[in-house]
Amino acid sequence: MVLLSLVYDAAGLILSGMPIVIVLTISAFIPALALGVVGGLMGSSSYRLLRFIAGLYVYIFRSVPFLMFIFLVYYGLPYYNVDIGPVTTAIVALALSHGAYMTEIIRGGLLGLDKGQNEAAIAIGFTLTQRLRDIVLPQALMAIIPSLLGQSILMVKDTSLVSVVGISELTRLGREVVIRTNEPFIVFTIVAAAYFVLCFGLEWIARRLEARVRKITSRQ
Amino acid sequence: MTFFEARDVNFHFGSFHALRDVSFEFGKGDVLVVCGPSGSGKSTLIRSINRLAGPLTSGSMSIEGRDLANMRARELYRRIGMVFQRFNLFQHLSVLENIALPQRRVLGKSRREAAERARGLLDRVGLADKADSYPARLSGGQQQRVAICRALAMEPELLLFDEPTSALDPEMVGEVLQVMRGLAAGGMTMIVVTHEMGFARELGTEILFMEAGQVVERAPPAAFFANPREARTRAFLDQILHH
Amino acid sequence: MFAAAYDLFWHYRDIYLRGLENALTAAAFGLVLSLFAGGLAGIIRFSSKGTAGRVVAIYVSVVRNTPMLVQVYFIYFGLPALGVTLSAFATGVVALTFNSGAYIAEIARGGLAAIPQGQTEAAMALGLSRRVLLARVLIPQAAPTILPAITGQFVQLIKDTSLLYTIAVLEITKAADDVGNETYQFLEAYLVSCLIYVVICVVLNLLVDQYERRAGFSRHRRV
Repeated sequence: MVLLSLVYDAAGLILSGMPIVIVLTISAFIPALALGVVGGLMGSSSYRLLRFIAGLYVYIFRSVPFLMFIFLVYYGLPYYNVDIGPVTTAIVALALSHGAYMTEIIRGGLLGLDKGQNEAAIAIGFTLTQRLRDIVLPQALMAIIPSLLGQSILMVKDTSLVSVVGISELTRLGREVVIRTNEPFIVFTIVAAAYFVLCFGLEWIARRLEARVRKITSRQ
Repeated sequence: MTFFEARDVNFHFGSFHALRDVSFEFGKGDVLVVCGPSGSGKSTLIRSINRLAGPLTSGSMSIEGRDLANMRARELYRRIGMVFQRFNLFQHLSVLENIALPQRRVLGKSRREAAERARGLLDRVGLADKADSYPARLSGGQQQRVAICRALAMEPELLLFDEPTSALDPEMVGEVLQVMRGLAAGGMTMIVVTHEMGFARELGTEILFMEAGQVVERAPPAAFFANPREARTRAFLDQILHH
Repeated sequence: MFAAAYDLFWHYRDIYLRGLENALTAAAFGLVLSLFAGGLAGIIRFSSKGTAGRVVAIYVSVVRNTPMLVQVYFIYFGLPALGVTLSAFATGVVALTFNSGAYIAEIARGGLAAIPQGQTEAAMALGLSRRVLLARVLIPQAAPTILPAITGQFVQLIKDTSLLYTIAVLEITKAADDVGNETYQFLEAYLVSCLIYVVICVVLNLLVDQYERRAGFSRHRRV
């Protein structure tokens, strides 16, 4: 009977907790990527001011723990009379924080591009749009997609912290079940396994893609 | 008949005076070989022809009387092709796509037409079997031959070679020069920056020797090698031929 | 806003400084302990292709693919269930060590793997035992190259102490929470803590730069 209720709890935990994690990750990943593209272009531009701004953005978010930052957003926005509710707060905090890491990834990808590729494209007569679409972006993306997927793993893990602003996601739900059942090992193993499946899956995809990229760009 | 003409060309990189009053001209079907010590401005010269280096400080360059500075990019790059020292093949595209994509994007050819022409060119340089490989899997010599095909596919009137064999292992230089020899025989107009004096002697219509951004000497190969007028040319030839 | 934050900091400096002290202490303990545990794990992973190596691989994978908060809860709620009662602070140190150990294992393994094969071959040709090879040839060469990564891990540890907030350890984030609860100036209270984290990072980064310059780091770096 006890076992049965535990199975019931576990199933409910996964079914209600996992979707929240996935939805939070996806909704934050897109704006974070947008921030990263803008930041990365700024960080690799030839204007010192733009580089400085991008650098500062990255530095601050690398120094401040995400848990700290989400509190800052949570308490900071109402201060400016912005009332967006906890879920949006969580997404904004995730996006801003991970946008900084993506800025670094994309900046690295753009700086890592061989200048000769762009020159060759010019010398062939490609227009700016064709150069970006056919040469520069595919190559930059090819180089950074594995890192971006790696970043999405960190994002999945960071969603566990948004419970502090009152969102009942997987970790929080797990804690509630523990308090009710007093079975910390079983319940947190289930919670950990759920995250593990998500993260390990992403890691696996990232590795596969990396191997494919390496097959194209390296000799033998 | 003058095909290409450069008049009093000056070029600056910031405060560095990279080209000083450079003037020369040549005709259709000529092979102009540009040589000189490193840092002499050879590469800058060739890269300023197709504006990769940026706009000239002063002076002009023209093809058949048309100023290159005002020519629209599309036309400029259609008429002048380039082969780079480090090949610069597009790493994310297969050999075939490297040659076909530019034809489709710039010349507006159909996918089939472009691929057909690419295969024909690859066959000519002996790389038909590499069509589906990625550039990174090819040797330097093979990559450079593909790069030449890519430039040829655009049917340029003038082909620029920026030290096409300098990045190659010695045993691969021959295969690339062989292809260039074929182009010269076929009447392709070329400017070739190179240290390969054998190539210069054999195929050059004229040799341009540069130092410190200036044209020191300009002469047909026979005269250039047999009795160079300038002391600096002699010193350069001494060094490059006897060491 | 910043002026108000400064006033707040000055007025409640005791709480903030205690938080800072606890965070640094927990991070330092965590670093030292995870250097031992993670270093050992990394060496095992590098030198064992058998069960031991596989166990380390699983440990690293589990830590990397689960949120640290879940790890903290696991330890915080799990240890008492095993009959082990530790203070919140000690629990925090255990959690930090468990987490950081996995990352240090990876760093150590990477450092060892980056040493050219020729070093191992030369040692084997001389008839050195595997133990001597590790202790006298490989580890001394790997150690200086991984030092910057270790410092990076220390920064990460300090950031990770923020999670101890969830088990009521007074660290830098909890300090902000306490001050906020007392004054209702939450934004300013958190701003102070944010700046404390930034300052710690700036200082640590400066130290790393110093080290890299002073140690003539290129001497140790391999092509």
